[in-house]
Amino acid sequence: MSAHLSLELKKMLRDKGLVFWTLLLPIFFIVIFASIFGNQSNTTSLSLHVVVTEPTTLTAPFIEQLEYIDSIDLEQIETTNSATELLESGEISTLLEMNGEQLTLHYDDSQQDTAGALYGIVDNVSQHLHLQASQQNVSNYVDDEATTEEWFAAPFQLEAVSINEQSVDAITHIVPGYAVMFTFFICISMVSSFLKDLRQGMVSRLATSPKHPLHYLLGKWLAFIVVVMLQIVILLGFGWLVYDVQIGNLIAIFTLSLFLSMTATAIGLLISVAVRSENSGIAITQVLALGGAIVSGLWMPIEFMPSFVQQASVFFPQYWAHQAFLDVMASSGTILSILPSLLILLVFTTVCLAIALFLYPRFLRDAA
Amino acid sequence: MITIDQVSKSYGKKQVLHNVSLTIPEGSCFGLVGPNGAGKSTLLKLITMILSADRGEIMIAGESTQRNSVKIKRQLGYVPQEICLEETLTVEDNLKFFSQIYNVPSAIHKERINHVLKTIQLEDRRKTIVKQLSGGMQRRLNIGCTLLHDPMLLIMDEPTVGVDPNSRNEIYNVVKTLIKSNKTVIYSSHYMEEIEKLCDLVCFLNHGEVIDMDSPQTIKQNNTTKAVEVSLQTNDLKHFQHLGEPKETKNGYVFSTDDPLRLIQQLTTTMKEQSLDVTHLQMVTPSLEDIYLQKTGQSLSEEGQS
Ligand SMILES: Nc1ncnc2c1ncn2[C@@H]1O[C@H](COP(=O)(O)OP(=O)(O)O)[C@@H](O)[C@H]1O
Ligand SMILES: [Mg+2]
Repeated sequence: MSAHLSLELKKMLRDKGLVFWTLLLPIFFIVIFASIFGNQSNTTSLSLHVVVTEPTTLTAPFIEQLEYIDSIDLEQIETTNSATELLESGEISTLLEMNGEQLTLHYDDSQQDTAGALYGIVDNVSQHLHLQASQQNVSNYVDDEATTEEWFAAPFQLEAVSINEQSVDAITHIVPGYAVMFTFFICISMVSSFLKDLRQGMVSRLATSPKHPLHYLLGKWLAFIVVVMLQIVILLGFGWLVYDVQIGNLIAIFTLSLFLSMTATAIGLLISVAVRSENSGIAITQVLALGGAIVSGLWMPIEFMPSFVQQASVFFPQYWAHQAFLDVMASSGTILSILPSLLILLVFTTVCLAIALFLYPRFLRDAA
Repeated sequence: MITIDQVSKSYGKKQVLHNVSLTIPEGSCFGLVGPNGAGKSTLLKLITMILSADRGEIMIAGESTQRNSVKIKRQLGYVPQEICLEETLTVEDNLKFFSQIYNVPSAIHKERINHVLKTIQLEDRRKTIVKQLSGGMQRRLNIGCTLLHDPMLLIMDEPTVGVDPNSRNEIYNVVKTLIKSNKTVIYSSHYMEEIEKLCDLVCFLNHGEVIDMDSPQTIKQNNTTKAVEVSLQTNDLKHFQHLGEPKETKNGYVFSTDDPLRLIQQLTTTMKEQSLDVTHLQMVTPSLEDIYLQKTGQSLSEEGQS
């Protein structure tokens, strides 16, 4: 078996196509998609320009309060142009004009949603200042701060909680997503390697040797597991180095990568002994790798998918692997918390391997 | 000793071997000759247990090949007809791999590889990528990869096919050293002159049937049909129609006969009558190739089938 393992690894080391498919292409995808979705979190803040035409005593505290709010990107400007001119120039899309006690929110028609949100916030701040002033006046009047505090206590407490309990940022989703997706492309390399051996007569030549034919099958499998492991390590390492993606528990990640490698290559093994043309191998792999990527939420969080897709995803090993990666990388999951995913990957591996072994004698017969 | 007893083999509906029976003594060099498609490769694949026979039995050193015996395989070296190497790796990598496949103890890998490199005359190509070797060198390495475990039974399927005459001679020299080392060698080819020079036994195979099997000398003695070669113009052939259908050669035409002296007399009589100018008249003994042609009506070099 070790003979086949070292031979395959030597061959793959010289296979430039393999390096392209397993490393360069996924890295290219990660970089592209990271640059598209990567800074999404910044764009969610609302930008607001403020122009003060006539200040009052409350103007400064008002602006201060607004600047406090995280989701507002406030910029105070001084200008003699009218609000309409400013908006029409296209440089700004929302403008708050503070003319004494009169506040006017000018907005570009295309920014209705933003304007709505800004209106609410500005209104809120103004109410808040109003309430503060009233509380102060009452407190002075009754000369009892504690009671006044009680009177003015808010009837509701509002707290914002995001639906995603683990608010995964886009990069943390993209890196393991593409790592998982591209592991399955190893099937193409496996099919072409096995079919080449079959066609060149290597399989029948080996059949005349004293080694049991399982050495060939398992030795090659092992070599591809090693390659996919390396692939995952390099892709995650790239995410960690370049995008600061958290890796999480190393033992959990290592075990998960190993199980994923075994699953992807067991599927590759099954396709390799089942098909007799490289084209059908490529076609099956494409469907499996691309279809699985979409359905399993490797490209887009699974929550955004229609519910029937979400239900179908459980039949794809990609889904389990990706969820487990997210669990470890984004919510500090451990090997225990991903145990169900590991078991399911193991089931996929075992089933594919069993069918591959069942078909193997037919593959050997066709070698002659 | 190898005994092949009443072996038949079909691919689907197409029967490729018909009741083949042969005995190959230990230590002999056994030549299997026949044109493309005769069934040589199929027979060798049955002996090497790549295929199994539909009917009949093959015994090697007293063991049936049906048991797919590891004991036989340890003593077996099979050189496939196709060049079957890892072409992106070096000569040495390939030899190393087959050493492992044939369970050569790793302590003596180096020694065995050096020895084989010397035998196949590729010592200076150890680190060359196989793809960059010439066709003849690849053929020699193809042989070398089966020598690492020093097998007692060496089966070579057309080891010289598709290479230029020079490289063929080099391969031929390699094979000669192997034959001298007391191995049992089974050598298939559709070049009769190779078989004639190398082998002590030759088997004619045609359409999956054994036509004849014996030593080259015996076959020649048993087929003493003589012939006469004469330099004739094609236009003048019409005068010789009564002497049978001649075969064209590079020197003229050959007439077969059981009584060459009488034929020569007949030829000269006709020549005088027609006052033809003949520069060359010679009695010829048939080569093995001629005998094959006589027996099968088929030329060995006929191309077409694989
Ligand atoms: N795998 C196969 N499937 C179907 N027919 C085959 C196969 N291999 C060989 N044949 C046919 O069997 C016949 C004998 O082939 P082969 O043993 O290769 O002859 P040789 O080696 O003498 O050229 C040929 O007609 C060939 O077309
Ligand atoms: Mg052949």
